[in-house]
Amino acid sequence: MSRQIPATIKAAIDWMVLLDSGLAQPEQRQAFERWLAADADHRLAWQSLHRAVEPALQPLLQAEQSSPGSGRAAISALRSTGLSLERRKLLRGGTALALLAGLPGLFAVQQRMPLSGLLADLHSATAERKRLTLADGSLLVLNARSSVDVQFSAHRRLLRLREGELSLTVAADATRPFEVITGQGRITALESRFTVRQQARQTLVGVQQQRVQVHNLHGQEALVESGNSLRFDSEDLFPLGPGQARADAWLEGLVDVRNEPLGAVIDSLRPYRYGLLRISEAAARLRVFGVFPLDDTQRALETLAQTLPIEVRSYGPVTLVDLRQDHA
Amino acid sequence: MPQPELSSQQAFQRLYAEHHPWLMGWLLRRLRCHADAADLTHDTFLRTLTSPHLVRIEEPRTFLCVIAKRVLYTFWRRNELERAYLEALASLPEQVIPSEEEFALLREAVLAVDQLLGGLPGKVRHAFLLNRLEGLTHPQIAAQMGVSLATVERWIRRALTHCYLAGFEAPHG
Repeated sequence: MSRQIPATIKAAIDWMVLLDSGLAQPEQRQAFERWLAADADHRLAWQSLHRAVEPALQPLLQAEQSSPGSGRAAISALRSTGLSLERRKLLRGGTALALLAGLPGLFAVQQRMPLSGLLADLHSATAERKRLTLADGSLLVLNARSSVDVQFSAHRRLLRLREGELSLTVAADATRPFEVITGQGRITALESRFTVRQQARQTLVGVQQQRVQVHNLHGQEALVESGNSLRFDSEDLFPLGPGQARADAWLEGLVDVRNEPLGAVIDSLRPYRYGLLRISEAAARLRVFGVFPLDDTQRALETLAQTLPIEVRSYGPVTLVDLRQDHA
Repeated sequence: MPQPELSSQQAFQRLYAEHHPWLMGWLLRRLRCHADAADLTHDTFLRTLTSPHLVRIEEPRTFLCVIAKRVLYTFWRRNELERAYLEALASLPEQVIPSEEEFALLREAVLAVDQLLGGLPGKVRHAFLLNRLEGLTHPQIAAQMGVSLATVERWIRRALTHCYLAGFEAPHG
């Protein structure tokens, strides 16, 4: 709906834009004072503009003062508008959406959206694993809270892993190698099964069948054979060799670790838990062996607390993992 | 059939009786969660109560769909915003974890700002928030977002105008 804005409000908006721009000159500030003093209507307009803008922002401004960073976190959250692509499509209506209850979400997406040759934005929600068949017949599984772009052309098959973790079973196509791009490099495969996890500044690749080629941004290369895994950042490659925990255990809803830091286990649980899961640095260094359920993070945390000197405390949506007091 | 002599209460009872299971099914197909679908069905019918058109509805299911879509949008948007905020908070240093009460207040505050800015394009929102919450100047915003000063100014003006007009919208939706 278009509504006529009174001239005094327009003027007040102009003043507010100028005064908060960081560019206002002293004489402009004086001109504003004169404008405000000149007419009661001007003051009313200024007040009502203030009332429209400030009350909503005030709590966030205060929070930023008491816990620095929380306001910035709000900005980053508010930066997104609207809904995820998938939900928008659901709202657009149309009964043709193949949304039969119980089907994994992405099968439905795939049926109404040709994936080939199109920049697709696929993602999974908290505690959700998604499985889909790509246009070339390759099988893609997204771990919880993951997103990828799909770009297929006549010459190449490309997935860009933006966040989280994926498992890929590549369908053979000798003319079009399959590439997965991460923040630190790319993984090339012809016909293999492997997992890729995007971490803060590293990528973790695990190969379950055949082999893949890894190139990092610095130009280093490595061949990773079935049963092995490799961690890499932009500048270095760290082969992990066989005997590691199963990188693809999450496909079965498990995290399987052998002598890994607790911090890494918590990292795996995080995408499966609503709310904030935090761990102290000291607790993150504890070593863990075992198999834990991803789909029941509460049980996983309880099991961890039984075998390790940690305590797990929940405050509403925030869960803290720390060393037990008698141990600290 | 529209029946002009129906009171709005009777109209509501009839709407509810005839279309409740259908609406529940419609929402369930989208939400895939029984409890959420039941909640939102309830919400949708509550909102029809305040509709001035209730007595003269000719296509009740289309009408319910429109309201249910709005309810669903708000529900999902709330979820996504909350998740985005938690994720952003998770990247903060350890010592600034908000307490449970703080978090509850902050979450509501974020939702309130989201509603205030609802309908504005992402870049306009972002420029406005950088200006009002982070206190960045127009030249700083222009540099950070890679746009001209004139664009920043136009965006801030647009956001302020939007906030002013939002104060006049009926408090629903």
